[in-house]
Amino acid sequence: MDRVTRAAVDAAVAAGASYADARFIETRTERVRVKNGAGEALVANTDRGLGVRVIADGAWGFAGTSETGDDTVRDAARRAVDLARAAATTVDEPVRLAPVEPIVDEVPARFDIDPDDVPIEGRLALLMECDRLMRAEGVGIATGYVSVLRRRQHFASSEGAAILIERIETGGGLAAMAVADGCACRRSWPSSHGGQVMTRGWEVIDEIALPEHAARIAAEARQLLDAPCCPSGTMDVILAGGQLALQLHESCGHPIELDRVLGTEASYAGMSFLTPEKLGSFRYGSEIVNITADATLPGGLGSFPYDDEGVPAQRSWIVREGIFTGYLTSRETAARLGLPASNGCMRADGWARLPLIRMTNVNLEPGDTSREEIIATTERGILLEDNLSWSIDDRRLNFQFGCECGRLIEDGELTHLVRHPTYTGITPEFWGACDAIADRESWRVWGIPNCGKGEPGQTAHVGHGVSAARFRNVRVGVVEDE
Amino acid sequence: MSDALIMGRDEALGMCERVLAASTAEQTEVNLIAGRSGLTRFANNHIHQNVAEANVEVMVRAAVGSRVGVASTNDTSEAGLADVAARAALLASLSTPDDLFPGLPEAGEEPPALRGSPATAAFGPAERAGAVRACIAVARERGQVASGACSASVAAHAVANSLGVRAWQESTRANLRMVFTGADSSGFAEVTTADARTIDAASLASVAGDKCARAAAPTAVEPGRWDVILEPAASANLLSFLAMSAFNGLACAEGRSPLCGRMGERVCGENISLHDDGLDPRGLPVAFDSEGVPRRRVELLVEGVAANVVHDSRTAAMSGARSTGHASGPGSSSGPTPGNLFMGTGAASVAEMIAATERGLLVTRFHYANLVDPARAIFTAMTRDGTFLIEGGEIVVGVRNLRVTENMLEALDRVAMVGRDATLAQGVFAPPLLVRDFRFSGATEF
Repeated sequence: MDRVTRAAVDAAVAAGASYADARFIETRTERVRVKNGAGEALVANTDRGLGVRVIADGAWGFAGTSETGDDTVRDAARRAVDLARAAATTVDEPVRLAPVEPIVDEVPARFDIDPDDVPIEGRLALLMECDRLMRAEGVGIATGYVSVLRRRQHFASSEGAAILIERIETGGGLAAMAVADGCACRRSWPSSHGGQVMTRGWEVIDEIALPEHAARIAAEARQLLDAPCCPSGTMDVILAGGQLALQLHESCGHPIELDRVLGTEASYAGMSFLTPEKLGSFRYGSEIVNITADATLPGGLGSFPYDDEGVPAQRSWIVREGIFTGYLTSRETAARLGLPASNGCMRADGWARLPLIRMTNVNLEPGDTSREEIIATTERGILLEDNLSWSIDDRRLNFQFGCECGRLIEDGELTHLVRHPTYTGITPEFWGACDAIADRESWRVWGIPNCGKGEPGQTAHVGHGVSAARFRNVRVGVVEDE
Repeated sequence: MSDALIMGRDEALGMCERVLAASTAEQTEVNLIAGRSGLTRFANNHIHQNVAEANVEVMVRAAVGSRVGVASTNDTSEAGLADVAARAALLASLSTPDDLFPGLPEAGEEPPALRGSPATAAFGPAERAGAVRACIAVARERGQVASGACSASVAAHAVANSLGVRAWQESTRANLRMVFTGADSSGFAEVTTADARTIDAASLASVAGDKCARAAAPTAVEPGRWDVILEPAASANLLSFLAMSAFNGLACAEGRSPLCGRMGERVCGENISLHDDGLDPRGLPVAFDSEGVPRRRVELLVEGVAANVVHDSRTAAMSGARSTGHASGPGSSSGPTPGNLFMGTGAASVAEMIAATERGLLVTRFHYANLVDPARAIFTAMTRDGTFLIEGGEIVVGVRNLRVTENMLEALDRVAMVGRDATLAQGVFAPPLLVRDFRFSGATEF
């Protein structure tokens, strides 16, 4: 059992906490970034610290410290109790927690190729080769990056849990930008938000085959400079890969966070249109739309063995045959909704932050049509790839996305590229217009390493399993007046 | 310095000196940030989150020739400092030459040692809870629900490099933000200040409560082009996104800025002037950047004419300019961005703007703004927490929220009135603006 976390929990209980948990986290990250033929950033960070969370007088308190000497740990625990008591002066109903079996466990990281076996020189050489291939196509700005995160997290609670989790995240990607005459067009591989990141080893980098795609994306970036702008109007839209992942993230993943639904993000990130009376009856999407939250997916960036409350990872239904059926929960919010237990979605951005409800891997389950068949059966539409911009209202209804690249479809055939495509919609109308979802052949779990939420700000690493999907009669080309 | 709020100059620079002494690189730069912060969050008329944290982070940039490596740690033991110095030097030795690396800045005049507010540093859980209780009391009195956050932080920042640069400053920041909600409406108010004593929670709560009440029973209006009054939180949001895309020295050097090749041209209305000033006490003062270079006042827009962009030492070298002290941090790839924006004020009050509007909208603030096409200065955002219809020079009713998709420079070319009462919002000291034909591209359901 970890000395630091146990000492923190004991000190908090001694100071009057009715419940306490503590996380002691050590993190090491390495980033290599190459830009236009130079090692722009070789970065190695280490970070360690302790976070103590308590309930005292029926309210929450939290304190984080980077110092972990005996006295500092006791001080942090007492400070957390003091903070809880200050909060309690406004609380009418004391916090209640749904039950969880206290777990004692140690879980090692999973990987095939240890990233430490790939030296910095090798990582740099890979990116320099990609950089050469991109710039040979004449783009003005070529960037490539790989990153590795290693984390050891000890968790202990006053209920008797003691869990050690080791985690490795590996990721990388490329971006090529062509610039001319006040126009800048970017193409990315394998996606635009941090490339691909997974809870696996260096095999992730091998699988995304960066050099094989470097010249293609650079050539596309240049072609986009001469491509026409996205037409304005209504047409069928097919979302592919990373863009479908982000659509799911913003319009489903966030509105199912039960803390947001219950109002605790109201002043900042906002609330949710998926209010509790809709649970089990509201039509979120068409009958082919099935969405799960699955923290058990091997390699998913939103996968983990236990959440930051010590609740085991789970797979649960969010939308089944188009009907909204489930939330992402914590122990506290599960109890408030009268659920028997949390489905294990509490995670914090390191030791200095309080756990919040965060997405795990929120997935659009695959359909039964091939991606090629979806394109072939689209009379007039647009295939949209890789996100460029994103925005959604504070209840997650009106969204607008911009993409790096659009490919027009006419009579079932991909025709030509369009520049800076945008589309907009209202969440349940949009998912209600989903009439085709590609099969497992094109289904991938995408990592999103920059999901923001909370105050103080927190960044979560989450995942989305998606293939491709078609949506009928979507408004596109919203930058210009129609 | 014995009266330091968190870590004095001697202690902070002493730690930096130990890293410099341990480094084997040809050039070494050390950034040290010691921070302590607390935040009280409330929702549904009670505090649901009350947190505090303390940390010291040391970031080292090492150069061997034009090869650069960066390492960081929060282990400030002797071994930890020696290790971070060694890791940065090792990474530099492994890197490839970067022809655009100009070397670390040379020593010049040491920037002023700004001091923080002791009152803010002492603004603890009891003080934050007191401010929150004042907000909740106003909300309960009106039958509304209060949500928000009250925070206070103190930080010491030191920079030292092997060429003799030495810089140290303190900063403090306090913020109280709230949203009051009713059955079908919401209202917003916020204050950000270096001195927590200036926070008047009850007055702010009244603003949020009044907006919420006035926005009740909102009506739907059609998107399209509307004359619009942007209150300071909204205009600040627009200006911060413009700054990000347009006045970034790296974006300009790489041809990605909408102002590329347009310096000296009129790019928006003559009533628009914008500058960046780290030392203006109306903002959140910053005396130097992560390279230890003094932050200079930079005129960005002068009566509608594009005047300058901001630089770090790298983009300055790329552009044949000198650094303006806007480096964004070791290892960052985002380029220098203005962080202390001030827009020139006009003569009109918001009441006068409303009176001058025959038919238009008033926007309290934006939500989830983002750049759609940075090179063309196009941004999108939703309105929230108080959007109103104006008819015949009066606010007549709240309206359901709308989406904006607009060219920021073109919007600033259609500003009919600039307000006189600027406030600090999101780091931008911004006045309200009356903009003609502002483009709303869509609407939502509430």
